[in-house]
Amino acid sequence: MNYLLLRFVENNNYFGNMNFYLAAVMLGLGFVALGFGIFISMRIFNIPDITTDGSYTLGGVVSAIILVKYNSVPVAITASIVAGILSGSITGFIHTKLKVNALLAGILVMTALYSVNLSLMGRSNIPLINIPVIYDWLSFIGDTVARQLSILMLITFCLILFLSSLLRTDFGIAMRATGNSEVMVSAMGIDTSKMKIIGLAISNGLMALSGSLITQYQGFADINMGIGIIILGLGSVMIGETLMSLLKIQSISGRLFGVIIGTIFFRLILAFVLSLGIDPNLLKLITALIVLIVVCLPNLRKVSN
Amino acid sequence: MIELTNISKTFNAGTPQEVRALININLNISNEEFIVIVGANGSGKSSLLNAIAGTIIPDSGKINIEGNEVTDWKDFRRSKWIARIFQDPFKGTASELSIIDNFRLAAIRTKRKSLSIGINSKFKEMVRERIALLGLGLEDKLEQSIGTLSGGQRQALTLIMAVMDDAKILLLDEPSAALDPKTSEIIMQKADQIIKEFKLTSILITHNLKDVASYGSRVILMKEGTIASDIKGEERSKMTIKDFQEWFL
Repeated sequence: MNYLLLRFVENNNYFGNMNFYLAAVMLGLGFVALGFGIFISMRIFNIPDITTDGSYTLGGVVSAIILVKYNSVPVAITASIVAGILSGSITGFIHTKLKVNALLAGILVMTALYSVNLSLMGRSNIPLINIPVIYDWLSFIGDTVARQLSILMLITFCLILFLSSLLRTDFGIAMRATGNSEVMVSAMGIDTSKMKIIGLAISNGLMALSGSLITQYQGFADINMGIGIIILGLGSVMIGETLMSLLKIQSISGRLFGVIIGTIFFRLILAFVLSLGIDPNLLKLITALIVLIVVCLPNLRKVSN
Repeated sequence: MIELTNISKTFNAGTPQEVRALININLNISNEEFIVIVGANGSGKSSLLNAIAGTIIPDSGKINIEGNEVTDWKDFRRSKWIARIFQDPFKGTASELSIIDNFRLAAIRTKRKSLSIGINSKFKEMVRERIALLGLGLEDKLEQSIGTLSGGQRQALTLIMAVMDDAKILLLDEPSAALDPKTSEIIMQKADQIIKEFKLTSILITHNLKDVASYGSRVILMKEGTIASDIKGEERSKMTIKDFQEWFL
């Protein structure tokens, strides 16, 4: 996932290079769908779903296979989303119908997906060399970076429009209430099990979409591309929340916007850390540390008061 | 309206913690009856209420509501007739959602939760008018999350929420037990008023003997999972708080 950033690092031309940070912003935009997915499972439904690592990779793998075989971007992206929805539904089913702890249900599906991804690919990675991807659309924009950025921004805009509308509908209110007060929601005639399965399906569909977008951006799908991705998403959601709470924004669209800001901000922090010349092998460690700091910050503030 | 036939429920059957919560309960509740259930802790009051609500499914027996056999129906399906008020004000509302969101859910309790936006200016105006009747000044705080309100305010709102959509049956599980005496009295009066106005068939669980004496058309005393006394009609109206106190001596 940090392929591009690392390439900049290797070429030693990153410091003060605008493209380096622009690449970070674009990666961030590619991860917005992942952030939204985690926002839905962890924040809207209050379910610690860690199917993420698997469904994100699944999205990348499915897209890569279809792009290589059939050369169709819309089919690739649609199939990725459907695959993600399916894996989320399975986690939801195991959790709600088989009454398995949500964390365990997620780990089970994530673990199973590793084998699924590996057998789908037949090897550990698929490169997308000379294969048209979504970033080749809008060909009237000559500059590659401008084109990629426009496409990612367009997708991000569609996503926030879709989610903020969905969460304001009657169904969306029922979704939000489910993670908040299950007793009340059942009393209001809502099947909470069904609601949670749908929620996890949407959430993992978004994560798979993110996997597809990143795969097309970096030019390959890899079996290990999802390792630790959940921390990245969670960190983004939390950074966004901290920012929005400082600005006292509580509305649904405001909170979703916070996820976007958080995701981009997180990538920029990581880019900055890399630009300081820190060993790229330590990137996951640094990611974990940043998330730890973000999680602890509000508590530390309380303690010092 | 509601018919319970030979309802039994045992928790933790076959273990040392076995509890026979309901033993062969037979109960017929007719339209617009207001039943008050009293009894010591562990006498089966809440189990009886939960069996009607559908949050516990009995081991044996049958439950009929409005002529439908609903014995195996879960609570969310029975919600087309039943509105519920909980002892814990936090359970009856979704804290992080705004007042208006909570009211929207209540307004579509018996309906499909569709993919359309139901909160429009007309709906807001309707909710504002209804909340204003409470006289708590909450009508101007519709966008505020309901978790920022006090327990009494939330309980008052859940009462109006109960009748936002068609309701035939109102189940109240110690609705005022978590509130201070003054608020508790206001909530009980408001509940009684709503029950009469909307002609609801109601069941109230309470430990407050003053409420037992003041409200309801029928009173049931539960003991060890069975109905020990069941008094209605003229006999009930003659009873005073002293008579009820004797039940617990």
